Amino acid sequence: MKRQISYLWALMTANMKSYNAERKRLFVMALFMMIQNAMFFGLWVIFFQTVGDLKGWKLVDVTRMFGLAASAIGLSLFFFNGARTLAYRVMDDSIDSFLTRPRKALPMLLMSSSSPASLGDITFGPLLWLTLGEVPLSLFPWFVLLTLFSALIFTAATLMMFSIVFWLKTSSRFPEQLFEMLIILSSNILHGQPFGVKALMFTIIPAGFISYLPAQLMRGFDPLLFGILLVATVFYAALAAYIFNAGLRRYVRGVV
Amino acid sequence: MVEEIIQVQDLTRIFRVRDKAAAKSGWFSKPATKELTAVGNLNFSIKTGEKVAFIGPNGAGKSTTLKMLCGLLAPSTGTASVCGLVPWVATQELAAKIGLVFGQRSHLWPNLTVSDSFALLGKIYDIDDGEAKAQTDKLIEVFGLTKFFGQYARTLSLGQRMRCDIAAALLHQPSVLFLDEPTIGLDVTAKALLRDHLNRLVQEFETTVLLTSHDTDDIEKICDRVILIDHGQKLLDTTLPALHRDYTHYKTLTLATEEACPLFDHPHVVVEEQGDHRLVLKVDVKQVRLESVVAQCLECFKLHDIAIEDLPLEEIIKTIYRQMKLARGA
Repeated sequence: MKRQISYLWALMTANMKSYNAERKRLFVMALFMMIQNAMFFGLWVIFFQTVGDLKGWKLVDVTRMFGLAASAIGLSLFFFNGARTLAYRVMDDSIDSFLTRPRKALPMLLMSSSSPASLGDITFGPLLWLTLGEVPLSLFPWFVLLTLFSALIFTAATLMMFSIVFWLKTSSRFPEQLFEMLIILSSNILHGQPFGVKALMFTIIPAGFISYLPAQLMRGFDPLLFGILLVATVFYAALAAYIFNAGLRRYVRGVV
Repeated sequence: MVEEIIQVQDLTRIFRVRDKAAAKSGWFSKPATKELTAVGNLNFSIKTGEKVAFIGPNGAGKSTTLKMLCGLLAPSTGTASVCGLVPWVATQELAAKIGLVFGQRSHLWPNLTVSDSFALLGKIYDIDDGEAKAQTDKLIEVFGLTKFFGQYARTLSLGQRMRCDIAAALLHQPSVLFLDEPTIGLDVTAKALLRDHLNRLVQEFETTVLLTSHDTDDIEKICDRVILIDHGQKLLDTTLPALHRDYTHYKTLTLATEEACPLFDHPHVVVEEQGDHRLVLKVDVKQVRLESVVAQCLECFKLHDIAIEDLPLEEIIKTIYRQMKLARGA
């Protein structure tokens, strides 16, 4: 167990060390991501200044949800951006380098890349909570915990989407499109959406579990909702690992 | 210790590929496909410590076979074992026992220093810190990596990168080393240096080597046995000296003469090159004794120098393929 932790730590630190070579790029990209987030969030501010509230949701609720989504996506892309490299790794067979190591391929793949811009996302969330979100510091640990669950589900969803390449090798752009859709839906309000859309957001594209459900829990603790979030996190993580491994078996069979 | 470290039995890999020759299918109909046999009923075994060249033209099935032996691809039929394991079943377990070097693909992390890459590999292969350091120090010394060990992998020259890649593949002291075009793109000096380092290390660790390369110098300098394949089938499996002995009956005689324009005539000798004070002869030793040709040369010319060489391996391989092609045609 100790050796396993030491190995995972080594993977993570190696990922972080790769930034040593390009620190300036890291800060510039993080800064621009924060500016981009602020511009996007500005639209919500204008919207709520106009309509006041949306079926009981106020600007403060959206601020908290948007902050959570930004931080969760940022955490996922900072630590596990390797999931997004799966498509091209399968296309050019560079996934072979993970299969010829005496370790499980999944952790190595997930931690094989980090997105520098995501640092901007990670910091944008708490900044938003502290400024417009009116979040007292006492609630911070709770919000951070919800963000971690959200980040895990986002990572699992990303891995599932990019694992499609094992079945549709020629369509590397398709997982990218799904991923972009996931980001857009995760940073939007699902509150007040029709049942069909909600059903979709809580099944195939789990954007509802990434932002909407944690946002509800931010408004007030509900043991049932928290239980659902826990189960969903375990379920999507297990499902993503299963789909990835099934795809990998296809790859080794030479079907891909 | 396993006597035969690699065993391959009736290994076959068939791919289903799009049949471009077939009539064009509609938008929603399934495209026509055909079967392509990349490797067909391949059989061979390799003993511990052997250094084997696995050669053949492009598309012969070398890489497909190599992929199957590393566990990256399952065969359609047949079986194989490497270090006593079925590669495509126990891929992860096997990975600890083999080393891989693909000339066109680096196993180093481009944004990490070589030193950090080695440290990470130590963790991946679960090598004790002390042992990893000792082995790293040894590899640094043998491969002469000191100068660029602290550099980012992406800033290395191709020659430096290949040396680091091979050293990295030997960090966990694998029993079998698979080398796929290890000297591709390197200049003559870098190639020679790399081969020297590699030979030193594989001898010391008693590593079994399976090498694919289009560079016949790699084969001559590293290997002691050759397996020749084409169209996924084994054509030849022999030792390097036997290949020279059995598949060529020519010797090359290079003469440096006093005479400005040396002329030579013999029914079983072909004049390959004739120039200023220089003559290159191809002698058919099955038809004429080499000694008698040399004696005739000594009689005819005042010699400054003489060199007798076997036909280059490249020529031998070409001859074998020509013979096989003719046999197939017949």
